[in-house]
Amino acid sequence: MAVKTFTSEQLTSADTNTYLANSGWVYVAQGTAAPGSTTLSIDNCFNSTYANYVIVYNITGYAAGPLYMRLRTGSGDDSAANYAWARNYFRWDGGSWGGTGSMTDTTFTVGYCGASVTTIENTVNIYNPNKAERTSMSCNLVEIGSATTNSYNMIGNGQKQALTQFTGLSLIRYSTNTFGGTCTVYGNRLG
Amino acid sequence: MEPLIGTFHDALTGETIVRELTDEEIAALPVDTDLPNAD
Repeated sequence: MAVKTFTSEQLTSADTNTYLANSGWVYVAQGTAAPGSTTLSIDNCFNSTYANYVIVYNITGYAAGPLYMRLRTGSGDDSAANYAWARNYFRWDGGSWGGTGSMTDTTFTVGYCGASVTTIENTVNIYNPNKAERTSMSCNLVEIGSATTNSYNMIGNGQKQALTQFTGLSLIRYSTNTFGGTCTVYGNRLG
Repeated sequence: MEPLIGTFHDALTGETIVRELTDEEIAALPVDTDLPNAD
């Protein structure tokens, strides 16, 4: 949509509808995990309306460790060992940095809960989940612990090595952790 | 052992269901390959 400069105080319904129809990120769904949940799944949030999505989650009641994500078809997680991902990390005090990755994992890692805290907030970008193409993801992870010596900045990327048309996602706990909180899905309007 | 609870939200209907995970879902939970940072 071409940028329009308004020259009067009157905003017409036609202009309003045009702007609403071209408004970029569009709310799709929000799931709220009951406290003590092992998983939070959102079905039917990916379809052909949008190609790319942003997932924003606020996890509460968590313990130290990673948070996993899987893609879903129908009402089941895809747990095949073809989630490829890598991330680098930098400890806040500069005391260590490095990276790790896998080509054959059964999940993406999309968050970390640090020592002495119980929450994770993060944004995950998901590209082409509902197309018969490989689905890619990227996310910035921050693990905030009790000190600079156990807090990290991280950047993660990944790709599901399958041509599946996914329709949903799951957030999944680490080890024996449980969680509550919300996960919101936004779609990027195509044009 | 405490039952494992999952929350399932359907974006089409807006319905949210909280239920115990099935045996199949429990068996499919990930093995912890990505461990917390060791520092």
